[in-house]
Amino acid sequence: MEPISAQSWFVKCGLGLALPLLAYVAIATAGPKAPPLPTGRDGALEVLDRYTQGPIPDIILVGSSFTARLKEEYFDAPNLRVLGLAGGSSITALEVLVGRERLPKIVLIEMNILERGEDPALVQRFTDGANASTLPRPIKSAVAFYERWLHAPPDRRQAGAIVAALLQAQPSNFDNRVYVDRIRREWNASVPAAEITKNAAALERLVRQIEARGSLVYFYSLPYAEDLEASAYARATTKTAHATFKNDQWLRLELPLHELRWADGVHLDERSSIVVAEELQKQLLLRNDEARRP
Amino acid sequence: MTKRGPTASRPLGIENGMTFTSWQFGIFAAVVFALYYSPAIRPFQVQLLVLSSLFFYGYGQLEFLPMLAVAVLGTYLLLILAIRDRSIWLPVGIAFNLGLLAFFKYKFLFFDPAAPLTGASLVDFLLRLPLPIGISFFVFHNISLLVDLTKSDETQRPDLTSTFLYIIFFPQLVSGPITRAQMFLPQIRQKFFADVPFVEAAKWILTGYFFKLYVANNLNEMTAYMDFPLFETVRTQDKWLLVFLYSYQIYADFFGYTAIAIGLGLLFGYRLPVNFNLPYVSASFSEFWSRWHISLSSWLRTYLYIPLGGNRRGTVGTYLNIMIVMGLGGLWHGAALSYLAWGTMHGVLLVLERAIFGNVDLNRRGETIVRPARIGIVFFCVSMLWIFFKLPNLDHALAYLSGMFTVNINPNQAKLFNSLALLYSLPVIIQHLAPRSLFEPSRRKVEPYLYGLMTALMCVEAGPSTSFIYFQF
Repeated sequence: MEPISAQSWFVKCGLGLALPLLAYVAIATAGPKAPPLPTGRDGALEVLDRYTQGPIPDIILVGSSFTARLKEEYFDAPNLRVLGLAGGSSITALEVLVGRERLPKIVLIEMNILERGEDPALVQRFTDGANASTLPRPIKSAVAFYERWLHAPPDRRQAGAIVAALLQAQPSNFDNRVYVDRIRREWNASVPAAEITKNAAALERLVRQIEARGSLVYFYSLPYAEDLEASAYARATTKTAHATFKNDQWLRLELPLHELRWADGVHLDERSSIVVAEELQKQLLLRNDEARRP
Repeated sequence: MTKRGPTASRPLGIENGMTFTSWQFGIFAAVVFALYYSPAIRPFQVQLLVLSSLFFYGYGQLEFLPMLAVAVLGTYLLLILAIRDRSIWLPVGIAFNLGLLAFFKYKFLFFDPAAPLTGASLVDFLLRLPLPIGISFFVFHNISLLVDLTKSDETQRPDLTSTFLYIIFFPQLVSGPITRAQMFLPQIRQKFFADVPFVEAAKWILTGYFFKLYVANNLNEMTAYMDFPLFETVRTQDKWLLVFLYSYQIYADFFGYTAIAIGLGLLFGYRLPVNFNLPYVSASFSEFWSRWHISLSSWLRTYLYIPLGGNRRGTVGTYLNIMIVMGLGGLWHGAALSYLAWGTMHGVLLVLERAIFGNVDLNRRGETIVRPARIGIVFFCVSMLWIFFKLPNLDHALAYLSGMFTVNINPNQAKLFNSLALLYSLPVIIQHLAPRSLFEPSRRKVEPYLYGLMTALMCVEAGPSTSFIYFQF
C-alpha cells in the first residue's frame, strides 16, 4: 500500500473531526435537552444546571448535601426547587441566585455548614452573563435518555404513593454507630472558627442583597444525631449562625427525633428526609399565614 | 460530610501548575515550537528548550526553581568529579540525589507541617515546603546521568546546557518517561523542521489526550466513589466494578500522559522511550512489569536489581532482591504504608511465579486456552492491588477490600451506571483485546478518520478536569 502523505493524513483527520462535530452540534441544538445524569461528584453541576435552565420557582431551599436529601417530591408546593449542593455550601447557591436577574419569592437557607465558602468556579459558570449554556456530552446524554427510559422517574401521583408508603413503614434499624463515632471524633478535633465567622459575614451580605430585592428569607438547620449535636463543630456553627441572624427568621422545626435516622452518620435517610420536609413545609405555611395577617 | 485531610505530601503545582491539558500549556507549546524552528533561534535550540522547561516548571510553583537548579547544578558538579574519580564521587552523587528525594518525599513522616518547628526561618521554610512536582522522576534522571556517563573513561563530558536539557526537558519533566542518559544525550543536536515526523507525533498526542480526557477523566467521576468514606455508600457489586474501572483509569491516565510526552518530544526532535505496551494482556507478572511503566521497571532493573546482584546470588538471593526492588519501587511512589504494601505484594507475586514456574516459557503451553485464563488472573491481581494505590491510607484500603466481600446494607447507596462505565472503558478494552490482524489491511485508509473521530469525541465528551494521577509521585 502506498504510504500516505502527511498533508493527506491531516486533511482526512480534519474531516474525521469536523463531520461528527457538525452532526453533533446540529443534533444537540435541535434535539431534546438531555435529562441530568449525576454520575459522581458533579451532582452540584446538575442541580445548578437544572435551576438555571428552568423557570424561577416561588420557593427555593439552598444548602449543602444535607439539603440535597430533601427531594422536591417530598413537598406539596409544586413551584419549589431544592438547590442542595453536595460538597458545596449555601453561600455558593446564594451567589448563583443573586447573580441572576430574577429571584424566587421565598428563600430558605440551610445553616448546617458554615465552614465552606463560595465556589467561584461554580458561581462564575451559573450566573447571568456567564456562558451557562454548554452543549451536552453526547455519550452521557445518550445514557441519560436510556436510563430515563429504563427507570422512568415516578410522576407526582406515584411519588406521593411512594412517600406515603415510606411514612407508613417503620424507621430503619440500620446501625450507623461506626459512622457517627468517626464523625464525632472529627467534629470534636478542631473547629474552623475563622472560616465559620467569615462565611457567616458573607451570608449576611448575601441575605441583605436578597431582601433588598424583595424576597423573604428564612433559615433552618437540619437535625443531627444526638452525639453530633453536642460536638464542638456543630455547637460553634449553631452559635455563630444564631448570633448573626435574628430569631424571627428562623424556622423552628419540631421533629420526632426518635424517628429520624442518619444512614451514613450525618445525612438523613429517605424516610427521615420526608418527615423533615413535611415539618419544614408546615413551618413555612405558618410563617406565610402570619405574614398575611393584617 | 468529612473535612479535608492533610495534603502536605501532595506536590504543589498539581492545582496551580501548567499541565498538558490546560490552555496555558497549548499556548506555551505552540510558541516554543514556533520559536524552536525559526532560523534565528536554531543555533540556540537547546538553550531555548532549557529556558522553556524552566518556565514550564516554574509556572505556578516558582519557589521550586532554586531547588531544581541546586539538583541539576549539584549533579553536574558531582558528575565532573565522578568522571575523574568514580569510586568516591559516584556514591556521593547518588546519595545527594537520594537525599533530596528522601527529604522532600519522606520528611512528613517525621513531623507535622502545621506544628511549630525549629524557629529558624530558613530551616522551617525548607521543612514546610511541599513535595516538588516531578522530583521522583528528575532524581532518577540525575542518577542515570551519574552512573551511565562515568562507566567508561572514554565518555565525553556533556556540557551544562545539555545536562540541564536531559534532566528538565519539559515533556518528560513531571511524570517521565524516565529516559536513560545514554539514550537522550546523543540526540542533542540541531533539529530541522523538515525532519519532524508530524503524523507520528500527532498520533501520539491525539491518542494521549483522548485517553486522558475521554477515558481517565470520565472514569474518575465514578472512581471518586472509591475514596474514603464515600465507598461505604457503594453497593458490594459496584465496589468490584470500581476496582476494574480504576484499573482502566490509571492506565488511561498514565498512558495518556506518556503518549502526549512522546508526541511532544517528537515535535522537538527527541524520541522518548515507550512506557506502556498493552500491560493488561500480560500472561505473567514478570510480563506485566515488562509492559507497565517500562521506563521505571528498566531503571529499577538497571540501577537497583542488577547492582544488588540480580539473579546471580542463588534462589534466595534472587527472591530477596526482587522483594527489595519491588518494596522500594512501591515506596518511590509515596511515603505511605499502602504504597509499600502494593510494591511488596507485587514482589510476592513475582517470587511465587518464579518459584512455581521457574524458567518455563509461560507463553508456549496451551497458548489458546491457558493464556487467556492467565491474562485474566494477572489482570485480576493487578487490579486488586491498585486499591492500595487509590487509597494510600492502609486502613482505608483494607476497609475497602473487606467491603468487597460483605453485603452493604447501607440504605443510602450511591448509584453507578454500568452502561456509562462500559462506554468510558471501551477504548482501553478495545486497545488491549482487539486482534491486531483485524485492523492491519485497511488500517492505513481508515486510520486518519479514526484519529479525527477520537479527537471529536474527546472534545465533546471530556470528563471534568483532574490532575494526572502520576503527578503526585
